[in-house]
Amino acid sequence: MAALIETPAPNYRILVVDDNEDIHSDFRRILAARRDVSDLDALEQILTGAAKSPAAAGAADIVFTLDSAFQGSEAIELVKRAQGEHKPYALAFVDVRMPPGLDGIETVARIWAEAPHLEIVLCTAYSDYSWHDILERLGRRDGLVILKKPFENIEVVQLANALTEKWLLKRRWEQRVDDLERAVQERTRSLGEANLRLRDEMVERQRMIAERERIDRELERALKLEAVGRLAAGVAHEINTPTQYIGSAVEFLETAIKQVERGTRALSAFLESVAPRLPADAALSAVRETLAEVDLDYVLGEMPAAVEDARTGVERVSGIVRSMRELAYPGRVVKERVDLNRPLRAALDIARVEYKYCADLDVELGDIPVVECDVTEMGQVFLNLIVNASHAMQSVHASTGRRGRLQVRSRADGDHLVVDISDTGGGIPEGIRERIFDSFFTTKPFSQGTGQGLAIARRIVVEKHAGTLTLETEVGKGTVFHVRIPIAGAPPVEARAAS
Amino acid sequence: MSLRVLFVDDEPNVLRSLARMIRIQRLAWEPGFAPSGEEALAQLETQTYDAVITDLTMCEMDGITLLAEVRARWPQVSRAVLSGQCTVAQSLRAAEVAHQFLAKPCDGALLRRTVERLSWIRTLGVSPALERAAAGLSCLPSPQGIHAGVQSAVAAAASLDDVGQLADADVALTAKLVQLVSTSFFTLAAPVGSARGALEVLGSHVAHLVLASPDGVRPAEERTARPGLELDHLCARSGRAARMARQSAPCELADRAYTATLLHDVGRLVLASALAAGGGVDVDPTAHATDLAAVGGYLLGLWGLPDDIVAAVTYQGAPDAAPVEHRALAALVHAARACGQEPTQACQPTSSPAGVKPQPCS
Repeated sequence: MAALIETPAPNYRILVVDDNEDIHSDFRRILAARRDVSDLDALEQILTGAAKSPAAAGAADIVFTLDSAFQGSEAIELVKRAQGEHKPYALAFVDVRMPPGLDGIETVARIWAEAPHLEIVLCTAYSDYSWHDILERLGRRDGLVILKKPFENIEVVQLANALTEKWLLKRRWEQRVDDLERAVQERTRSLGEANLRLRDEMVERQRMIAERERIDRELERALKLEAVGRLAAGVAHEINTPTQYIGSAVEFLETAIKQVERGTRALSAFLESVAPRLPADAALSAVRETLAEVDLDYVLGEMPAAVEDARTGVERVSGIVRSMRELAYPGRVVKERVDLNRPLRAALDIARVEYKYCADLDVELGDIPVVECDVTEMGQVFLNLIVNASHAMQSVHASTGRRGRLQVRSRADGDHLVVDISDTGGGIPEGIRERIFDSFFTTKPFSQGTGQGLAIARRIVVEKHAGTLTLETEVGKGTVFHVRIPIAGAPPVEARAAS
Repeated sequence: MSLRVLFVDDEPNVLRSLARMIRIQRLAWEPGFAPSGEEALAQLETQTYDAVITDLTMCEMDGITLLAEVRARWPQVSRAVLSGQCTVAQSLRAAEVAHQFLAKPCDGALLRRTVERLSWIRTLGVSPALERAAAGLSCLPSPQGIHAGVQSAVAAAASLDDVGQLADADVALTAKLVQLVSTSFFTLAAPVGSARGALEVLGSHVAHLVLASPDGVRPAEERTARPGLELDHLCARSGRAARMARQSAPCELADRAYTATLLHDVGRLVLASALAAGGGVDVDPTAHATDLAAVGGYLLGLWGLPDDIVAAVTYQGAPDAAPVEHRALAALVHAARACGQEPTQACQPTSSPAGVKPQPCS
């Protein structure tokens, strides 16, 4: 860009400002006789042996152009015109006294207002103004030379040569400074741009690192889940076999105690019936004492209940193992058509310990069509929501002693399946509603939650099943989450991208 | 008739607790107990058993190896698994060699029902040769067209709806799929009465594995084609009759009536398979319809299908002989099976059998 700017050309336009006609003639004569000057320069070169600057060396070709002004106002007009025509003067010889108009100093001040680069030679025969006064009035000292009248011709020639050369050098210098300035600005600008790019890149890089970490965490979680799944399958086997024989033993005992009771009651009835006829002896009273000691009536009365409890326990254990298997099935990695009530029941079963002390259960599972989904993941969604609901009600229960109500509904709504899970916990304060679906956002103590639950639930429902996960909440009343997923299953990814 | 059952488990507590339970409940079984597969084989060599119920995961010989051996050497013996947990791959292999799968913990009531049903089907009067033929089967033949359709549907990972449509029209597939969900091969036992329902219980993943397995479904061989045993005809006829049964059944029985009628000729498939296997099997190719009905019921009972379907197939010729709670279904099959014979003949049952009133289904 800098190359497009023209290098300033030499400028030999001179303005002579004097009220005296003769002075103008003198200037013309002196500056037109420049051949002498050239000879003089040549002589000087011979004498000093020093090469002159190129501009000076070309002095032989210099043709000064002189304009004349007889009054200050006329000079100002000429300068204005020259500026306007982009043919500025390089130098002005200005007389100080020019009655009746403006004096030289004022003229110079006004000229400079129009053409600040103009070199000025103030010509004065009198010491009307001291150098100090002049500087005071003009406010600058550069570009100003004082020439005492009467002046020598050579002074005028030298001034004309030197000052036009100075003008040129100054323009060139300014040009260089401009170029440099522009170059610096250019460089600064590109540095600034590079800086911005670098900053963007750093932001992007940080985002990528965060994304990478998130994926790593998810992978780790998935591996953990897979491991838990495999473990659950192994544990299930280990639990199911003992449960089998505990169950069989309990069934045995159930019948056995009835028979023991029958036998014992028969014996003691027999004893009571024959005892009056027997002589009181030690053996009989030993039997009676033993019967009293073993608290037979109580034992016989309680045995069926105890066995019933054991049976309930066995059923409960096998139920939990079944539910674990349902929710953490290591072989299942694909979406399939399933009855969503299944994972829902399994989740309720597994999370029971979370709500049973603080809330009553109210379950209404509708007759819903099968839906294409990942049953393990949907089970995890339900588990997360049920555990969250339970925790909310645990807090209320701990502070007020009030039992809550955990409501779970499943229903078909048009072409969607809807599962509502509502609690009577404390609700979600307005300030944090926006953030509850964020990863790692949690209000729970470290040991209770990682803050991943709702983020994962949302991802599973929204991204993997093209559904929605919404909530209604009221502080002090509770929260209800709605899981909606399309019965037909999520459309293929391309179809979703297109819509 | 008391059933001679051999329980095999390497956990002695399981065997002891079963022994006590059977003894105290005065069950009319003659139980035997073996702590390993090898011991079980040794007992089978010296004593006669009607059924083997074995654990899968055992130290030396595992349950699948044991049952394969039993099938080869004593094909008439019923084979069941009683296992705590296994992988899908193990379940698939179990489905090849076992008729039924009981999940541990299995309560006494279920065990009793299972054993009692095995006792009952032995009273149906099926000839020993056909009993052996039925018990030796891991699956029935499908018409080649249907078989090819199913294979390409599986290869294309078709939806369960599409596969279900094919399976719903095929006798062999319907029997196999309902078998797999009637006991706990892959999932908890589910009282499902149709191939489509069974597919939904299995889920697409397992369903595709089963259908791709040569022991889940196989094509008919050319030489099974004997008069009265042409598979394509048989399937088409059964399908027409089944649709008829569904239309004339009351809503709550519609699906079961469809499936029971579709399966009513399953005995002919057993016979066809036995004849195709040829060799040592000594079956009478001119078996009477009643015998074929009985062997059909026998197979379905052995496979643990729902009692009403087993009874309806068994008593399709004489619904009044069926247990009273299954009479309605047997009567529907009885009426509908005639309709399959002639596709052109508009066939409406003149009167609803056994007082069952057809209701338009909503």
